[in-house]
Amino acid sequence: MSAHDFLMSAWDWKPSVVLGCGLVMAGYAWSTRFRFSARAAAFAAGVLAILLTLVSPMDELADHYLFSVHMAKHILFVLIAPALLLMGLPAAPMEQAMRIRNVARAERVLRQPAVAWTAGVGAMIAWHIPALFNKALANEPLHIAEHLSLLACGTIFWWPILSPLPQSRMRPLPHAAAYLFTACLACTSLGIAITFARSLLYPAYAHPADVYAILPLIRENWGISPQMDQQIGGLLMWAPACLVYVTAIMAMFARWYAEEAERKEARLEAFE
Amino acid sequence: MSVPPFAAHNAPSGLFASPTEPELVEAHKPPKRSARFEWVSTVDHKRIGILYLLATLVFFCIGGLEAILIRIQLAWPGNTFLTPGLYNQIFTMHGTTMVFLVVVPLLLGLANYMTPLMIGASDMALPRLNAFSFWTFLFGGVLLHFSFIAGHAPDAGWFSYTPLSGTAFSTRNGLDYWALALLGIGVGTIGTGINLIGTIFNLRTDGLTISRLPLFVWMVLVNSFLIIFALPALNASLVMLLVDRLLNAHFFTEIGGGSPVLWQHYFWAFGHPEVYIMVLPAFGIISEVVPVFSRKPIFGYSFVAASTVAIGLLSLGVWAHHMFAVGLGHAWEYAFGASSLLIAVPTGVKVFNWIATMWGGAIRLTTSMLFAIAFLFTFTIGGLSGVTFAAVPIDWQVTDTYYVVAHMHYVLFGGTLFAVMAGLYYWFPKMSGRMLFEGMGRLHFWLMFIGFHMAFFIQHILGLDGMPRRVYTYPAFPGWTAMNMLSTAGVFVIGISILVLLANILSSLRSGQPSGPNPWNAWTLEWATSSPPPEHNFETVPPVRGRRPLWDLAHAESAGTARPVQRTSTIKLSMAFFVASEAVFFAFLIAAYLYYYGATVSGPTARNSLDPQRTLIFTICLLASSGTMWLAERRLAHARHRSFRLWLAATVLLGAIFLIGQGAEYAKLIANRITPARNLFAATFFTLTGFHGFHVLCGLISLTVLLGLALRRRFTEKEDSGLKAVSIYWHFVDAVWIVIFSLIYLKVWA
Repeated sequence: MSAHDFLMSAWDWKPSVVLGCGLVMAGYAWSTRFRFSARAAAFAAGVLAILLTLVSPMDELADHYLFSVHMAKHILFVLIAPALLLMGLPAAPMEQAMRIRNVARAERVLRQPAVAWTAGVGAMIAWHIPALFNKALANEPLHIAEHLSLLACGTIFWWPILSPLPQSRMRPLPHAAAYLFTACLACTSLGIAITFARSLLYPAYAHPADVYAILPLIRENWGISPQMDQQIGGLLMWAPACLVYVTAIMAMFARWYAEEAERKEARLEAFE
Repeated sequence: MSVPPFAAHNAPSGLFASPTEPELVEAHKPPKRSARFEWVSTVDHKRIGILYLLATLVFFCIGGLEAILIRIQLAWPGNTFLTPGLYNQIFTMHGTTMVFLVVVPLLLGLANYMTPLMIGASDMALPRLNAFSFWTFLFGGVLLHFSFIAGHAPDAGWFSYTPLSGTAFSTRNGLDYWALALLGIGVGTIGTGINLIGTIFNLRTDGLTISRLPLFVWMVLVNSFLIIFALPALNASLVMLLVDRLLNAHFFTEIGGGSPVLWQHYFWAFGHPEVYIMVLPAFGIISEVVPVFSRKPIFGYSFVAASTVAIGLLSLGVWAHHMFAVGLGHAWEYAFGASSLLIAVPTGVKVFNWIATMWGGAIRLTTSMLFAIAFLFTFTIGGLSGVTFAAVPIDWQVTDTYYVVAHMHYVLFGGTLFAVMAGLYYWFPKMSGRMLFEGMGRLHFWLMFIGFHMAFFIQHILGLDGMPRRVYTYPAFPGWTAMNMLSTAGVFVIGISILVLLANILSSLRSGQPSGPNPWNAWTLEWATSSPPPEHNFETVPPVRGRRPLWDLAHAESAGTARPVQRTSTIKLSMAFFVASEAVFFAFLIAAYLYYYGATVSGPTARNSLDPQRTLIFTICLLASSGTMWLAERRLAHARHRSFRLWLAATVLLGAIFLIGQGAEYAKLIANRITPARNLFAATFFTLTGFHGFHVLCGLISLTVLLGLALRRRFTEKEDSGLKAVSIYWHFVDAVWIVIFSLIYLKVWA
């Protein structure tokens, strides 16, 4: 099968995924009264990212052929999609939700930097421990649990940074920057460990069951051997994932700067 | 404490004039010591700064002479002025000297002198650490040059690639001096980095918020973070190289399963951030000089500050672009090529910030400003040639040619050194109280500028034409002789310009025009005190209500308010960063252990030669000592001195038991002929646990000293903070052991 054929045919519109994404998007549109804004665009991008990861050929590649694509999927789930969703969340409904005592209580626990950091980084590291990762590949319910937990932990991780509620957010400097920097170090270590590993950590990718008959295409035309595949996966975790954190750190600088300017303005007003 | 104003600050101006001290200090002054002793024993940041600058000037002259020797040898083809062996030593020493003994300490010296003044402080946060750092650095420098006397200077290039730097190919002991000297310099540099962070966080005068910090201080801050996170990588690799060389281990040699490529990873994991360590403070100098001589505030202050952070962060993760020629595989090359291209963005936009600052300004073309403009011009060229290396095919073509030599001289000489010259002409009046002569300054500038471009521009073409670097001679290919001769002539012009600079400094010190406190009409705090500043720096620090405090004094209407600065405990802060830096060091050793774990093919392994149960007992002792330490601190806080002493003694005892246990284990292993030379497991095991043991020993000595003090007298605040520092260190050492124990003995990961 050629690359073109594969990219055209390997779409799997799983009803649960399509329906779920559709409902979330519809709920969002309804609660924001169908007004289009940058926020709504961010939220839609987040939903679209999840949808595409799960129905596009990427999913087939990730689950059967290439570890590196699976890694890309995980990065989308834990780092990119939750960040986009949180950027899109409007403040008003969240404030309403916080009026429910148990929600507020849970939020107070989860937003603790130590908790949120451990959730995000811990999920990322735990699911790449070979034993667990290999088990999840072979076991579909566990695989679904893996993806859901990555999404959930990613959301918890980003909450103290990107929450629409100001009281949930960390001070941008130095706290949030240190939070992100240490997370970056942890992910980099994981990436380095995978990149440098001498053996194949995830044997399922060494001899994939070639359902789509694209293995020759991958191995010969694309030139991706199992070793190289694992290296690319490690490097994805290392460099691009780091860039997400670095971008977020720079955003923290911008936020801190804006807050500083705001304070200055408030002082001037008080003076007048 | 209020310092009484001392009316007649009639200190004789000049670099070596000892500033008079205020009367208050006079009363407690120890008997007068000789001026020489005062310089050696000083903890004053200004004197240490000047010592740094003087030491680097000497090293710069040595490194410069080496450059001249290199260029004489290369002036024409087939030259026999230097033997090949001597040539190798000279270019290695030139590179090592210029990087480690000139550029970095030069910037640290300036940072040392200017940072406290620019933030309205009276000294660095930890003055004794400051002196320690300087003398360790100087010791390292002297040790490196002692190798000449000992018979053989290092000769494997400034990055000493293995296996060339291993015992098989470098049989003489030059490389041992190289590694030991760099360790000393590394330790000193980290000390200064920690000190600068503590100073900038904690000693700012009220109102000087982070968003008002002078940009030079901003860059020094980011630079210090880079230092404490990057230098440990060098220290770890040097330690491993030394174990290879002195204890016959095989970390970096193919025999026995080692990996020469790992040296390259480790060295460049340090080496690439080092590039930014060498250039960020230079950006800072330019960001001070350009606005003052353009009579405009910096354009885009927040961008300049934040992009520095971006550069710092990115620089930690792009090192492998130094290794494209190694054959890491396409995956590596794409990832690192792309991330390296990204760094150019924040750097490039900075150049526009400086140009925009000059745009429409009332530019004063002083020597300092001339050098700043030359920096912009030259650094941009060097930056652009740097970007070309991120394109992998171009890198393959030009790596290890004179194109690389040209690039790094454009960045380090035309970039950093020009910026330092701008800073020298700008701040010399502050340090000495006298102006440098402008006429001689201009002569110096034009000679250096023309000489520099003569010497190095042509090397781009030589490199593209295929002339490899680090060869002691070359055949008479068409054009090569002329190009090399031009380059050599350029170096002589640079040499003359340095003589002009030295003459300028000496004659200005004697008969330069007195500068007064603020000769340039500048805005930052260092210009608010006399030149040279008194020992305690400021009589009164002017209020800081904006980014340009001295401007705000004259234009009260534009100013904001002076909010007090939030401060934390200096001891806790500095120890936290020290521990972070140490953690990086151990992370590299642990990574080496894990990396080599799979490579051990034969001989002893963790499984068949270690005794986890026995070690568990000693581990419990060490962990318990953390508990007793905590209890001791609690008791002291409640002023229960007797039980405090008991718990402290228990901590010492438990720590000692751990060390004895480890010693016994070592003895057993060595008796079974398991030594670092045996295989990679043994080498990594001994290196990792040995350095941990060394840390325990250091902690134990400090604890014993504290215990001795505690038995003799009640703790005052001073000893209290000392105890806090040692306790943080002790807990850290325990935490490291938990990681080591679970990785090596329990193998939780396998």
